[in-house]
Amino acid sequence: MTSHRYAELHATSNFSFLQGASHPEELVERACALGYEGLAITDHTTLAGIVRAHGAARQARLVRPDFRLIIGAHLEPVDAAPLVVWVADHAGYANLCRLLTHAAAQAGPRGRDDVQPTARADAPADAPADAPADAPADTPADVQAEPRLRLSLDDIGRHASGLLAGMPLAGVSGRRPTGGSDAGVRDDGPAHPDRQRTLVGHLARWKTVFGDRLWALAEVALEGDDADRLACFDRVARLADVPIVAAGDVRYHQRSRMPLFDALEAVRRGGTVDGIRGALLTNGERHLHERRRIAERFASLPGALERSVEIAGRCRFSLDELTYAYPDAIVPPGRGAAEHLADLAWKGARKRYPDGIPDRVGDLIRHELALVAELGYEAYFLTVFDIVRFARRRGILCQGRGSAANSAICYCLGITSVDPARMSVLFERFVSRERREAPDIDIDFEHQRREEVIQYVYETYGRDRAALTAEVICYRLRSAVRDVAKALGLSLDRVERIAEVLDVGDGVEELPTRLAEAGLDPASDTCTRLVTLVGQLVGFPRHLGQHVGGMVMTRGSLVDLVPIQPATMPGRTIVQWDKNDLDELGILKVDCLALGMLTCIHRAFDLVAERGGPQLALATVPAEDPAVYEMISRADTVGVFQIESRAQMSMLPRLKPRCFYDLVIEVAIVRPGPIQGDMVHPYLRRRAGEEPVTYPNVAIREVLEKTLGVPLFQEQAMRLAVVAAGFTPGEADQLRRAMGAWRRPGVIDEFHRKLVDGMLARGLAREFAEQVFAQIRGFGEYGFPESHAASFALLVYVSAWLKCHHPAAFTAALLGSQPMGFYAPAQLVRDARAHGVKVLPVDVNASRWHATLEHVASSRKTGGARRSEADSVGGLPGSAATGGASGPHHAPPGPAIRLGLEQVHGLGEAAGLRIEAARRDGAFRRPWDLVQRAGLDRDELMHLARAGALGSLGLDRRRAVWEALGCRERPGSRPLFDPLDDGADASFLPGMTPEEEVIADYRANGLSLTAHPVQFERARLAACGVVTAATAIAAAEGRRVQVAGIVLTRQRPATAKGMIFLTIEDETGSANVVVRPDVWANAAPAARRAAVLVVHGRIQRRGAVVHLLATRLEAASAARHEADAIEASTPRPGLASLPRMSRDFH
Amino acid sequence: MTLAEAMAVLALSHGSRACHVAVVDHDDPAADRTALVQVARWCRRFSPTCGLEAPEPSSRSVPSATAALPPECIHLDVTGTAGFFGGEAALVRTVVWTLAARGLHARVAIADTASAARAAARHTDLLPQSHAWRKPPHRRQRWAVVPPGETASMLAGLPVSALQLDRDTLALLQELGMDSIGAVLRLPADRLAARFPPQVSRCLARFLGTLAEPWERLTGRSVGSGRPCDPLEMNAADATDDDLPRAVETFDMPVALDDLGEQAIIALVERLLRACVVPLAARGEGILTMQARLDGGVGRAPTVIDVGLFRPSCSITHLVDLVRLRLDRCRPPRELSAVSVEVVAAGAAVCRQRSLFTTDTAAGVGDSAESQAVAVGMLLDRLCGRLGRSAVFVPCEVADPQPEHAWVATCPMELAPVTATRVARPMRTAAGPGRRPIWMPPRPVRLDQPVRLERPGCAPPRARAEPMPSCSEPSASLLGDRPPVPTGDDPDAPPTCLWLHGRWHRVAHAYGPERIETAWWRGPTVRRDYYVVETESGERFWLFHCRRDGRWFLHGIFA
Repeated sequence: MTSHRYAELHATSNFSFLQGASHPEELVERACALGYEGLAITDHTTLAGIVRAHGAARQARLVRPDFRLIIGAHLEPVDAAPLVVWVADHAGYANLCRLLTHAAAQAGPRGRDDVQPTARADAPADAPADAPADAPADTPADVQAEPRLRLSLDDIGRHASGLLAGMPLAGVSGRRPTGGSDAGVRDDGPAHPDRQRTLVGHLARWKTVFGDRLWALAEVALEGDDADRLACFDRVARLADVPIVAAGDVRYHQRSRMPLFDALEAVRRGGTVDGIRGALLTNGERHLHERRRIAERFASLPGALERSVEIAGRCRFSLDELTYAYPDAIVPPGRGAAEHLADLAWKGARKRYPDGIPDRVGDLIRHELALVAELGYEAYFLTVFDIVRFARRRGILCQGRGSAANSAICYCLGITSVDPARMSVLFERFVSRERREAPDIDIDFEHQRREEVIQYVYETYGRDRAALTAEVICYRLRSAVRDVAKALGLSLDRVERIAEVLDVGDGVEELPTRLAEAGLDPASDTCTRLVTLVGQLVGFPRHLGQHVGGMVMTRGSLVDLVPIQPATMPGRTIVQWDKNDLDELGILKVDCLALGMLTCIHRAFDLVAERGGPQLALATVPAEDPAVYEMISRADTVGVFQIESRAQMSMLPRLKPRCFYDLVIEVAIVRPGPIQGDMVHPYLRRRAGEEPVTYPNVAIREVLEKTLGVPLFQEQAMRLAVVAAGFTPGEADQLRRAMGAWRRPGVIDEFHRKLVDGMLARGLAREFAEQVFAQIRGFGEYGFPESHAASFALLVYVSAWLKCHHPAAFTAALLGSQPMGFYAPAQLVRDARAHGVKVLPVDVNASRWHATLEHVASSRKTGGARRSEADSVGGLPGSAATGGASGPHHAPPGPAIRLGLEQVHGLGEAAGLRIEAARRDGAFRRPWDLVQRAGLDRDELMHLARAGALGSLGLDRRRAVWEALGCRERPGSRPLFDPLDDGADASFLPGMTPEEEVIADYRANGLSLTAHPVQFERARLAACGVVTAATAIAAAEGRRVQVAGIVLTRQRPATAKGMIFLTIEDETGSANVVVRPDVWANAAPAARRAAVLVVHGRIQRRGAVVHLLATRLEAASAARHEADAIEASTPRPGLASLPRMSRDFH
Repeated sequence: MTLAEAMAVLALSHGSRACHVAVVDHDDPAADRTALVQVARWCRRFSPTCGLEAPEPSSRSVPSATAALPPECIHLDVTGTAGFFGGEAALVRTVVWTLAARGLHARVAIADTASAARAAARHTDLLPQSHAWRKPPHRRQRWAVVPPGETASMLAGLPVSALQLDRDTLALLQELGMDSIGAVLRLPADRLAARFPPQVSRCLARFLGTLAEPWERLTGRSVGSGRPCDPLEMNAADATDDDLPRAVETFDMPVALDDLGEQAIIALVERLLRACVVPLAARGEGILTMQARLDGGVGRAPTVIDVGLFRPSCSITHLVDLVRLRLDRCRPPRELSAVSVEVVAAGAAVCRQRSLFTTDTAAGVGDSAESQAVAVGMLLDRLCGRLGRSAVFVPCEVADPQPEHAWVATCPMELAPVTATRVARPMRTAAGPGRRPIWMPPRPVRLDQPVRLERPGCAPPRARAEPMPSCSEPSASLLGDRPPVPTGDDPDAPPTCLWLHGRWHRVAHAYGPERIETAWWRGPTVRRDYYVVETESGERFWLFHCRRDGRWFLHGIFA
């Protein structure tokens, strides 16, 4: 019974987006469990899922050493029958990669998979074998629609060597529509003579390409006439003289995935399952069957099963054979790479240490150079050096981060900025002998100029040797719910509603509750189906995006290694694998990341220089300025890199950083790793002197001294393993990696034993050993390496310095680098004004695209009387800082910030630049000037009018809108009477109340310079017992208060056990709200999404940090409604009409 | 909203039982419209001129939401008719109350222009009380009367949304601070026109009465009550082109039906019909839908005979025929006070070249496709007349993997146009010839239960069954059919013997299985293995094995 040997040769995974309903891993595991000899993953014109299958197969081989994973692809050429190809050897693999690259390039950029023409299914049956199928007359109408990927028989013929091929006789998928209306094709049954002739013709064509490497795939799926079909297939194969082999056209690993497959088909066709039911497969047979069943099914074709095993045996290639070679470094002629690297390193070192290289650093360089030479990574370092040098030459700020900062060579080459003389570095964290894995260098570039760097890499290495890493965009809860709900036939409104009530960080478990909130019964059939399918779909790949910046470069041709396809962005190409896949195969990538703060710092430096200040650089910012640390200790850090978040701000007054290294600790300590490892509080206690610092022995003291005996960095954990438990540095690195949440438990146990045993053997207490293990465990994924924290701390210091000494330039630069950071422009502007910086409104006659600095004479007021009047109404007292302890700022008469046109919602950068350019010929006097000279269309003018940017033209918002409406849609479309000159008198337009002004400001600019929206409701709110944020913060511990405010941020950190942190803001300042999960769950869905909230809660004080522990949340509109119930007459725009401002983090 | 979604919503708000008792009505704009027309027709008692609003199609290329909306207002031109009801205030009240008595909650307003009346009716709550009648505080004001000439002043306070403007325009007006109709009216008209799409100006003009409101007048004429009327009098002479004719014969005294006799009624109907057909025929049209009404005595509901045709017809004999067929099936009132015939819809009658040798009778049979179509249409008319509309349908194929759902009954009217070729075409089976049986029972028949199959064209099962001699199972019961005997070890394999139609069939061949797993999205997954079973006597049955409970069913018989 069990003697049937079989290998599945035709299986589609979910990397054929929407055409397979199982992960490659699931297919491999199931095939292995069923005792198959092998499994071919043949995705549709892609190899994106193959590395995952490879990983799963490696695991599977632990159990069944002879299990074979066959790499293949399903191809659908436009002019021939569909084909499955399998890779036989290395050459074949390279050929397949080239073929798929060619196909992708032909198709152009690929986003979401297009729906394939349905009639393709019947193409082999219809298209006469000898006639070219692209002749319009012979093909059904929808085949002519551009197919997704264009391959032709000739393309495949050119890349055929090293490949084996099988032609599925049942057509593309054996798909047989139940409806006659589909494609208008009549299926006359397999035995129809025409069909047989066609099949023979197709086989003959492919035979000319593949010769004796071609098989005919017999696939049946219990369609009633299986016996006839098999007989026909057998006859066809005999006539064409091609051996026949059994296959399954597998789409999912087990039968229970059929509903999901149907739902995906509906998504693919953009319909509902019920709507496309006629096009669905009629049964769930396309899973991996037991071998006994397969044998029964193919009993009439002797040898069909055996042949599958034989083919599997001929496919000897495995991804393990791929060897990666670093690109040739750019080395001056006649010199070796190692020599060149050493030269550059020593030269750099001399530049870094003009007073002589410290011995320690010299030793490090020698040690690292030796290790690099041993492992052959010279070219890699030189490559990175080259990229950095390019950026420097172009004036693009950049800085290495991550583990690379552990290298003295990187410091000397200028890749990183962390001085190994000041910091203890651990090169093994970066490059390790044991790991034998590509080192990982991340470099941050200014986010608005990174594209230049990427294009430089393409130019230098060529498009066939460099490409971006892919990122597999997976279904997340929201997208999965959307697609499945649509497929199940829910209305679009309802789908939107569900998507809206889904909370940040919700999982499938919360879905039934959310469905109830969206007005559906979670127990209904529809909803149970929805929940089940969503549960399966979450995590499915959806399409290939591009990784944030990982570039892959090779010495040889990259297309021999992996297929490359164009990315959605023009000028970019991506490989089909993501970074985990590349890691798995040990392929180098350099991460060119974009960092908004670098852009901001660069811009701030420029603004300072523009206004006559010194030309600053990262390295020339004065170090260790006490004023800066004083500011940081006050938690006055809105806008400062990394330490502006709420958690950081509440830590700062406790930690009170006094030197650079304190910043390094600050950056590293507010991380999930240290928090989970319970290291924060011991550290704070020790720092405050409340707890003695003790060390078990001297070696450990050396490791932990600078962090007061608490390991805070990954390096410390590793070093601890070395000095306390006798690990080699490489082993310590493995330990760190094993801690990752995704590693298998068995591995951790082994390290645990080894660590504890090692420490016991060295005379340390078991208690201490367990504690160290727990701490290291916490680091797994979430800890920072010290080097990384140090790189970031540099930027923290520089940005804090800018904020302290050049607040106007810093804020203007921040506004110009949005979106970035924790705060929206409204809060940045508010914070700047609280520091005495004058902020001027957007105006077409004064603003450039980005925010700029202006000198204001105290007498001159811009923006008309309205604004100056409003200024006095809405002077913003108080500070945004948590403690409210901001010192009195005697604002020096500094420059004012002029908001840029970028603040105008809906206005494009191109239009903004046109306005800037046109203004050089003189100021604009009428709206028509903007149309004529800056070439604005009516919509752009409307955006400006709504934003109140026409103030200097003497137009208030409504009159500006009225004027803008008078301009034609397109400039010049009314040549005879261009300006609609019906007088500037628009007295019939009602004026706006200050409240309306503010709300319009928020809607059009996202911020208002006149007042805060909440203050208009103050009287009403006060009547309901709502106090201001300032009052609340000053209230005593335990007081019950109600505060109303705009929701600025929502956070649900993974470490906080479901707690939600909100920041709300009113005209007096902001308050930090902590919401327990039960309170959050009880709040109405409207409150969870509301722009303005009324929070009922209790004050909690901890040192200088004040929280409002919420007991009830209420959407402001509802609260307002109660108050208004009596006087409700005509609705007027109020808080409820504010757009949502909140930034959500999790 | 789809049914699935509706059920999920319903269950949440009313408990899951609600799903089982809920009445499902599919969205049907055409039916909504028909109902509205019916109400409008009924409102003729208040005014001779009534009709539906006709929303203006949006002039933008992108159709806005309002353009797609079906009409929801009924317009009555009450100029001069209010006096009959005691003034305008009394009229609106009467309309509201009488409609309420029929279960319809209407909001009613009278104003100078249709557009203003619509705005007022939408916001009756916001308008001042027009009459001394005090509404109870808990009730909402449901009517309003805007005195003549006071449209602009009285409705100035209404929100702009009361005007029929598209959403973008409304948002823009709101942005300009226009929160009421009055504010919009204060804008200088010429400048408004320069800045907004033309339909805004048109809308305002209609509101103020400077532009006529487009609306869809109900066709057909009514006659004054009580006045005896010669039906022949009202024909082509005063019917305008748009009018559909209507003819009434009113008796001075109620006439007992028995005195009159069916023949007399038919003769009367024929006369009325002729009166209606003549003006239509003059325009080249024929009757598509008509209504014959027999009014009973006071307090008795009239008997209405609706006749729908598949193609417009002018043939009086055919029409009378249809009325007669229907009359047989309904119970006319015992006393008649009036008989009327009203044409509800008309269409262009097909002009045919008559060949010399065919006679133009109701059953004009020729061999051309055209005359065949006429014949088929007439046949359908007669069938519907006799059996009722729901009993006549055309099975249409639907792509659905579950065989019993693979067709739907379609009204032959909806299959436009009814041509001979269309009807004569053989049904296509997508699954290939011979894979689906010609005859299928309404639902699968379980094979282990007594089976009473009435197969068309088959003799009823004989009362006495002959046990199959070779079968091990002796015949124990005369009534019951018995379960098929499985082949042996494999319970999945098709049976070897079948007890059907009161006798044993021995299976010679079984083809299959064809596995069907589907319908998970509308209920429990259907999982079946179908077999085509050929008996030794040559009959072919379509059986399936339900894979969930292992039972066997008969699902069809091949011819």
